[in-house]
Amino acid sequence: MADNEALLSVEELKVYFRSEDEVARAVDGVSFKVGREETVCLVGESGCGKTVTALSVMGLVPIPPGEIAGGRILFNDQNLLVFNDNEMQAIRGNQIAMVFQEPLTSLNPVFTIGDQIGEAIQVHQTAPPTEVIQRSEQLLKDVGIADPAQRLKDYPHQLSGGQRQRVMIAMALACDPKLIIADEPTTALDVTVQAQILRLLERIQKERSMSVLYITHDLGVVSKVADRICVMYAGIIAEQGKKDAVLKTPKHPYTQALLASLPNRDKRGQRLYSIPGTVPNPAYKPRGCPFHPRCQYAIQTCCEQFPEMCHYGDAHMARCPVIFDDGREN
Amino acid sequence: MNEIRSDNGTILEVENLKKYFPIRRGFFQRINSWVRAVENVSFQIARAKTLGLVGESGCGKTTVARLILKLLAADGGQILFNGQDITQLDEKEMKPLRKEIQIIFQDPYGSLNPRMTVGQSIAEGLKIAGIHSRSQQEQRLEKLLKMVGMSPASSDRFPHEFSGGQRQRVGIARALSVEPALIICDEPVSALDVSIQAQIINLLKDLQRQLQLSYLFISHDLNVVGYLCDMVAVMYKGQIMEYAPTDALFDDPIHPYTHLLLSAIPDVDRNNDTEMNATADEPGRTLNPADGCSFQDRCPLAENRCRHDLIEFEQTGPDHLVRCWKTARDGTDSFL
Amino acid sequence: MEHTNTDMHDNQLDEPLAPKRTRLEEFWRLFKQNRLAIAGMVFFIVFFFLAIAGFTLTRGNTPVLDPALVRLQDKLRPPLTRPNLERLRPHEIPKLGIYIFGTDDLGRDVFARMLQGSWVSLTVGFVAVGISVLIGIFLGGIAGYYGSRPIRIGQLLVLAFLFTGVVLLINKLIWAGSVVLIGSAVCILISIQIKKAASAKSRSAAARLWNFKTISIDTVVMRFVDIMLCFPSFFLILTVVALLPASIYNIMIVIGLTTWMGATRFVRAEFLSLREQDFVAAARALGLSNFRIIFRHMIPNAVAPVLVSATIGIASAILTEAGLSFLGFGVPPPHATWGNILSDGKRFIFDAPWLTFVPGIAILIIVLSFNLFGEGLRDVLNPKLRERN
Repeated sequence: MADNEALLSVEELKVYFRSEDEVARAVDGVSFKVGREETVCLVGESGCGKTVTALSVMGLVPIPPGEIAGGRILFNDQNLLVFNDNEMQAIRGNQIAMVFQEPLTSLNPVFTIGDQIGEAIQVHQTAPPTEVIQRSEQLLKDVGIADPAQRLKDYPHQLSGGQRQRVMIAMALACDPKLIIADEPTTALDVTVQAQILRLLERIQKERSMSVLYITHDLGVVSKVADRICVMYAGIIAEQGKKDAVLKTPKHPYTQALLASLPNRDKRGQRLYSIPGTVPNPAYKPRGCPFHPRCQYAIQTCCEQFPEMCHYGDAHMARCPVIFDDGREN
Repeated sequence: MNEIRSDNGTILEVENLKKYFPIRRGFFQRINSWVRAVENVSFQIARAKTLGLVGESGCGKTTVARLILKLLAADGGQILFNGQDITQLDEKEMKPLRKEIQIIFQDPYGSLNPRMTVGQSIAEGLKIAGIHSRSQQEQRLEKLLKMVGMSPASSDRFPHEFSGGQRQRVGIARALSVEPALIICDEPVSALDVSIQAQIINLLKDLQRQLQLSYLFISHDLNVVGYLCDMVAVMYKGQIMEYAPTDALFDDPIHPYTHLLLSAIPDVDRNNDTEMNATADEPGRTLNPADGCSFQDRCPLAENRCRHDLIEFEQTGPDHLVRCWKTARDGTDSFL
Repeated sequence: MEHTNTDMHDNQLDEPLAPKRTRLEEFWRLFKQNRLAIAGMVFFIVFFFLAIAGFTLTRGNTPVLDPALVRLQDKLRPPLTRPNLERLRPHEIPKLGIYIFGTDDLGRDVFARMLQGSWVSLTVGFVAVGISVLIGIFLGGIAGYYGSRPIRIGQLLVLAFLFTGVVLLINKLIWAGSVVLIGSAVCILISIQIKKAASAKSRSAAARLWNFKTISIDTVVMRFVDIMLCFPSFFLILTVVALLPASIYNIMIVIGLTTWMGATRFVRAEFLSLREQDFVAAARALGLSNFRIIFRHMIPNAVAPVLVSATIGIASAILTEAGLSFLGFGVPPPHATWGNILSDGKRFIFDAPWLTFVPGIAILIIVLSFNLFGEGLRDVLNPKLRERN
């Protein structure tokens, strides 16, 4: 993917959280790109920094205790990190929109759906009330809600979880953003509803030629939605590349271990591989490669030296020189 | 898979279990209508085997768990534990049986008393199990903690000092402290990270092998259920829709709802593009049994009969029961 | 997949994540971030020791600092003046050699009186709040834990007999009281008999009447709370105090008995939410007794918010006592309390302003510091706020 195609380019982003006696390096030098009309998945376990990465793209990291310790976030070749509040406000919701995990708490319970979608439209555009209603209805129709005129008068509690998430997506679409950041949008939903929402996102992305930055911990979901995948661990990107490359021929031991530890019916009777230990506390990350205490291939170098990014062609990269050197990859 | 239901090996048998919750309205809080949280649920769990109970949120899985533990009183049906009906027992008669059935919860943060050390939490169970002397308690505590993969030094720590996976291990140790025969696992891994999930699943499997435990494994994650369970019951709106050995259920699902669930599994290794389309988004109104199949609103095959007739639970194969007259009679899944 | 299923990893034992920190250390780490709360706590500790000092220094027949000693020669001296040594008799000379807070219209040492009053404030605050918290935990706990259980007619009879019996006994009607108490014992016996008979599944009409369900415990307790809250509490206290002989103990008890409603609501709400917690379900599944579940699992978890409201409650109890004394319904003179010092001083507010300012500012500081301390406690003990840190 050539540089000029990138809609969003995060370069060496560092976000730290300071408390009185410790510094949590939540995001510690993350670089990735989201191309036009591309879906990129940030996947990782809780505390790996995926949500903080997304929030810093939106300019929503609470400062303090948070602080942007370095790096650039280029959106359409403009560095978002140097924008002030007003400039950021103009981008947020207008060009970059976000869909959150919990559809119940993300909607204001005292306003109708119509009020909230209308507000989302009017924040960035001026339109007469009749047009706002018309557009709200169209948006609801686009996200697959039956009888939109009626639903506009409903309050959030009158809708089911899946419908609420559809409304959230409609609000995100209100100003035709170029990039949608979806932070675990289906985690709180049932599997059957999840499948519908994923299909909806895919359809909308194609119709509106948007880019999607999809954040999740669920590798199964990743395999359904992603074009490219960034696997995060303890504030760094361990591996990134095209979906099939990462899922079928993973290079980083962490990605390999994650895939091996997924239960499914085909593995019945076998023992699951389980990664020993727990995710490190972002304030006390191990020296060298952050994964080395849990890695079965770790060698002495891993404990001392922060690993280099190794390239495997076709934008497939992994931050683990050990497997590469040993020629142990599949 | 047939040996699972050899009758002498059945540890728990649930028959036509019912639980209705009243909906109260108005100034005098009169009972307005009933929610049929659990309606005619029947299944068996064999000794040292695992039954998976699968369904979406609100389908009544957790209510079933609470009924078996007698945290809730059943409104009908029987729960036979080792052949003894526990629904009729009062609290005193139930006491010796309490030890036999234990539970592991979904939320590792809410399942431990934040004011008690890990050791104190587990020791409560030891006292119930009749281990009173301090030295014996300590010995047993150490053994239990090691059994679930925790260092014995953890015992004087408080729950907030542990990660989610570690707390889940402590929860398991507490359940094991009374040496139960059956453990109800209420979504024990769904709040955990992928890498931790595998640790806990392995632990549950090891314990089952070592201690001959039976599990009722409640989950919405068909990947985990397919990996761990011997039999699976698919629940929808309080009813069991399909009940079958795991392989039969995954390879030849019969009920349309099972098809819908299986097609929705996000799985890395499979790319199932043949997704089934439900006609409606998600569970709608709750129905009386007389109003026909509870899945009718979403079922692509629904016909007039589905809306009026009582649907029986029928056998279609060895150990394979389905609550759908259409597929049950044809024995084929003609609709895919 | 090259990852083999080595058992080696699983045999490693998990160590706790966080460095070992007791709850107290954790509490202190969070608490010390709140400067105002620390200030409140410091004032609270100072006040506590002052009150104890005041109690020991001002009691007995020949106290070190005599709050009741009248020196008409030295009346209305401003603060920090030396006593008039020529005109005072030897035993009248203050031990400190100075009137720190001046003297009042009878020449009594305001400092000594304030010390004596601080002990009153402290004990009134703590005892009154102690009473209200105990009642609150008891009633709130019952309403929260057994809430939905209905009271049966038989139980209602037992309670009614017991209550009237105790009331009669208190009013020295020994005979009537004993008879009614025996009546309640008879009721208990009947209940036991009926329970035995009921197991035979044949229920007589009498047994059914006896077991007839009336309203639930929760309704009884909470409606009683609502009724109590209908009275403006200060006037309720005034009425009761007017009927009872004036004494410091009556004040404490009356304040305690009229302020328990908040604590009851708190505890009930806590119990209702705790009852649904998984660890309580686990305790029940283990087969623990209700007693143990309540006292070992629920009360320790419910007590934190109650403690917070109790701290703030102490402040309002102190304020109430001062108000009562100011109106002349409180602790009878010659015993000094901050309220009656203030009340005595108001006649001289232009000639001797220290007589009103000293107790006034003391009340202000103490009430403020208790409130700040209480709010600091709440911030630390509230788990939702804690997660942000």
